[in-house]
Order: sequence, then structure tokens, then C-alpha cells
Amino acid sequence: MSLAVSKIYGLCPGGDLGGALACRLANGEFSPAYFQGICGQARLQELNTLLPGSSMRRVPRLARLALRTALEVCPETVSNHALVLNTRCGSVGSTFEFLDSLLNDGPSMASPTAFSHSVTNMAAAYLSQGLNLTGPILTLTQPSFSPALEAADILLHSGLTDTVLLGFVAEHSDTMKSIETATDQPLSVFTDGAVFFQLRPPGHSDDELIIDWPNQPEEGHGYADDATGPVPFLPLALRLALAGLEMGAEKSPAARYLIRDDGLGILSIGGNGTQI
Amino acid sequence: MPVDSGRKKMEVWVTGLGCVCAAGRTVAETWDSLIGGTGRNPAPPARLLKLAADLGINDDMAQPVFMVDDDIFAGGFRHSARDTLILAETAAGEALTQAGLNRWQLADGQSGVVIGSTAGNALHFLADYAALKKGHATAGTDFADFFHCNPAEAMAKNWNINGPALTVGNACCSGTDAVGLGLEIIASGRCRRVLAGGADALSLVPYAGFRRLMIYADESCRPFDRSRQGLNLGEGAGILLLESAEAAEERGVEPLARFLSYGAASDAHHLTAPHPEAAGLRKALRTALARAGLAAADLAFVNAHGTATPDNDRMEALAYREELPGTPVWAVKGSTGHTLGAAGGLEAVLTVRALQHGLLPKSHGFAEADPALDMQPTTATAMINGRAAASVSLGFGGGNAALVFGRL
Repeated sequence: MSLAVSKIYGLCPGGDLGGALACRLANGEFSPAYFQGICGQARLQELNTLLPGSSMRRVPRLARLALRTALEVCPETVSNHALVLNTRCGSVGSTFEFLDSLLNDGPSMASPTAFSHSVTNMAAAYLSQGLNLTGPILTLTQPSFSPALEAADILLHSGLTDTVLLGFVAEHSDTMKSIETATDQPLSVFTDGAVFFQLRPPGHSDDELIIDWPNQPEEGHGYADDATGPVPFLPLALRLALAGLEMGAEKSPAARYLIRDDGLGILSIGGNGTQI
Repeated sequence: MPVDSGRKKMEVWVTGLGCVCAAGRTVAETWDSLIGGTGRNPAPPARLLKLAADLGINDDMAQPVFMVDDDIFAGGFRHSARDTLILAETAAGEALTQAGLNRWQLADGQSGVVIGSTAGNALHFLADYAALKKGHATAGTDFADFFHCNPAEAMAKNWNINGPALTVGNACCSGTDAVGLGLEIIASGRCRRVLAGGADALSLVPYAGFRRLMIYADESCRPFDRSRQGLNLGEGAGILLLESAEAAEERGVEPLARFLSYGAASDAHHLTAPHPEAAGLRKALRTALARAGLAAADLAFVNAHGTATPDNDRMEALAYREELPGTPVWAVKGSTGHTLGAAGGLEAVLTVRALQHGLLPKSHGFAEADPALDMQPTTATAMINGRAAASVSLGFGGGNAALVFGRL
């Protein structure tokens, strides 16, 4: 598949891709392994400058992460856009809040608000309200990165929309870390942050930023991003966003970010590609 | 407004159907139950109540649910996340068999799978979570099932499906959006066939959650009825095998129906409440009809979302009165319960089945018209007039989706 990127923004515990993190990158602090290991929580204070605080009063963290990032890509309402949002688990904090209230207070007193906020498409719902998105809204709940790109490509070629806002969002949770320990599951997917891309079909200009992504998953892996299983989607999305931002700034393929030795996809401008 | 992508669109056929729900373990059983009116009544969820008691949180929970037979699962042994995968694979197996395929023929790089699910793909591992919170050692079966049973990815891995594998989490719209994406994948030329639908197994978490939202009925649900109290949850799966007409013709397979279009729109209004003027539903319906090249009068019926909650049915009735005047409305949740992410897949399967047989069943649970709605769903089995039918879902978060199928 081939998708043209109009805008990119990302947010993670190391900073945002328009500010502090970009400075750290310029100072050479970045390495490809950086995003795989980031932990902690991304800063959300800037959200107050984008939306009235009163409107954020009951909005869960996952939706705040998505809103904070998406508003940088779409500062104005974009009713004609479609939304594809990948979030493996939805609002982890709200879900555990509901489970806690169910276990502690009993079914008759469990929190209905926490239940509403635990539904996996909650962040997409807040995005649709915040951006007045009235087109197709799609939430995917997958550990891997590629399916969301695939879904964006499908929507762009369906005729239902000409622009897709593609987002990846995940929320840090100490409880999930405990589960990781208890089950020996690789849960780095629960890195905290969000990445958004504004995507269109390619062909609008000669020097547009293009994501070329193989759409043939490997045998035996349903939709694997690499040979040993899915690459956690948020670190990969952040690295793709960074490569895109640097290439967009320099208009050259100087930046090179290897996801794995044989590469997963290619970012290119004007035919000059960077393997990522 | 639909956009011309410039790509040639492939015609898409439905060549296989599969379902499992409280009304039947196969499409034929479910259909016979809907036509004959012999479906089971919902009952208190003994399995969930036992789990609640084991966790020490049992209280007045006794509202009825529509559950499938436990012996569908190996040894009758149930775990929430794995249950959903088993339901999906059971329905998908039936659809493949009807289409004259087996699962190994899907490993051709030209096949995909799109499954809508809500509870079946959420952090609903309550028993393991309770043990973890108490500091007890846990086998972690519930946790592990969550990580290994993402419906589309697990199906793709188990069945060697190496095309797109998408798990849609659009709340109660999930199944309908999944089927719609299946259409678009084939129409774009990306794949030749897609297993698409929805699946969800019941768990204690949504059962408790919907009760706390105060939209759960104490008795069998009554879609569009004057005395409707709310919904009953159900569980199941509904899967369609979609194929490009070209691929089906090469195999010499007769289609069950033509899959004409998909429309989707968001209310952008409220997290849980539908838009009072049905803005998103109207847009989804109009988009689907326009893309099918049909007028409202061409529809033989619409398979409604029809949850039997006061707000949902009021809003849907408004949309159908004004957008689809005179079109018969069929509501199936009085027979299946609200199967959440499975509902759209299940109802798409039943919509195609009704078109195939030229019959429209009555809407179980409905007894008395609500004057405030100024419409009523089907009250008796009737012959179908019209060349197409729509299946509609709405969901938490303001999602709306519509599918249009055509008769042969």
C-alpha cells in the first residue's frame, strides 16, 4: 500500500515530536532502541491551551492523549475526514476502575461512568466530538501496527472519504506491568503516548511524503509485523513519525531508522527512499 | 459525500453464511427458530452468577440473558476471551462449508478476515484480576487468553489467512463495520475473499455494566414495544464469506446475495446517547443507499438495531419514518438478545437469509405499538417485496453503520 502523509504529530514520555523530543534528537540523543524502552507518562499540560479545561473535566487519560495529539494535526474541525484509531486495550485506567468498583462495591454500586469509559472506542468517540468528525469512525484493537495502515488504505480507496486521520494511542498502567510480570507477556505495547498521521491517496504533488508498506503478512502470523510476532504499535508509529518529520524537514532521505534488519517499509520523498 | 477514488470497483457476493446464537447453533436452526417462533426465552445467567458468587460480589443480579449452549465449547469449559474466538471460528467454519471451501484454501494471500468484537477483546479478565489484586498467585489463564485471542489476528494465525486481519472495536457497531470493511477490501481489489462478521461471548463485566447504566430489562426485551424496558444481553457470532464475483464465478459458486454497499457515519454528539435527530444514522443510510444506486422504496425491509431501550428505539423510529417511509422494520434482538460486537454480523447473516428465502419473520418480543414512535416492527411472517434490504447498527460513541444487500 502507498499513502501520502500530509501532517504528523506524536507524543510520548520523552516529549512531543514538535518540541522537546525533536531537540533531543537534534542533539543526537536518539537511538532506534529508544522508543522500545520508553516508559512513564507523556505530558498533557498543553491540552489546556487547545481546549477549555471545563470540557476536559471527565475525559479519561487515553482520550486526552488522543485529543492532545490529534489537535496538533487537525487544529480545526474536519467533518469530512474518516478516523482510524488503533488502541490495543482502550482506556486501561477506566477499565480497571470499573473492575475495582465491581469487586469493591458490588454490582449494584459499580461505577457506570467508568464502564462507559472502558468501552474500547471511547477515545474515538471523544475525538469525533472534539473534531466534529461525522464520517466513518473506526477503532481497531490490535497489538500490531500494520492493520491500522491497512484500514486507512481501505477507507481511502473506498470512496467514503478522501482524508483519513490515522491514530495510535496507548496508556501506561502499573497494573498492566504487574500482569506482564505475572504472565511473562511482552507488553511494551503499553508505552504511554499517541501518534497521528493525516493521510491521503498519493499523487497530489511530486515531493509529497509517502509511506510504502508491504501488505503481505508473513505466513503463520496472521498479521505479523515481524517474524517473531507483532512489533508493539506505538513505538513503531513514533519511529515512523520521526523519520517522516526529519525527512519532511530536510527534504532528503538522510535519516534512516531501521525497525529490523530487512526493513518493514519505506518512507520516501520524490522517489528518494528511507528504509524504516 | 461519497468520493470517487478512481479505482475500479469489484462486484462482491455473499457465498457463505454462519452463525451461532441463543436462537440456534447454525443459520438453519436460527432461521427456523425465528420463522417458527420457537426460540428460547432468556434466563438468568447461571454461569455468571456463579462467578460473581465465587468472587464474593453476588447481589440481586438475575436479569435474563440469551446464552448459547455451553457444549459448543470443548468440555463445556468457558473463558471469556477464548470463548469469543471459538464462537467466531464456529460461525466462520459454517460459512466456509456452505461456500464449498475449507480453511486451508484461505492461505493464498488473497484472503482476509475482519471481526468485530467488544467484550471479547477487552480487559475483562475479572477472576485473574481479582486474584492479582489480592496478591494471590494466579495461573493467569484469563490474562493469557486476552493476549492470544485477539479475534481477527488469532483466526488469521490459526487458519493461515495471510491477507488483512482486522479486529474492529466500534462497540455495538463493530460487527456491521467489520462486514462493511470486508466489502471494501474486496471491492478495492485488495483481496478475493474475506471472512467478515462479529463475535462476542458474554462476561460478567458488560453484564454488570449495562445493568448500572439502567438500560437493562428485567424481562424479555421488547424492541419498539410500548412497554419496552431496555435490553437483554446475548452472545454469539455471525460471519459472512464475501467473495469477488470473479473469484466465485471461477469456482462455479452460486451467490446467496449481492453485497451492494456500506455506509458509516458518526454522530459527533455524545459518548453514550444517540443523536436525538438520528443525524449519524440518517447519513449512514443515505450513504449506503446512494452507493448502492437505490432509493428507499427499493428496500424490502430494514433489519433494525432495535435494542429495546427507550432512547434507541425512539431515535431509530424517527429515522425510519422519515428516511425509509413505508419500509418494513424487522428487529431480531427479541430472539437473540443484544450480542454487542456480534450483533451486526449476526443481523447481516439473517438479512441475507431473509432475502434468500423471500420471507420476513415477525419481530419477537414486540406486542403493542408505541404511539410515540408512530411505527411498529413486523408482527407476522410475510413475503418480501423489493430487491434489496438494509441491516443497521448503532453504537456507544455515536457510531452508525448500514449495509445493503441485493436479491438475486
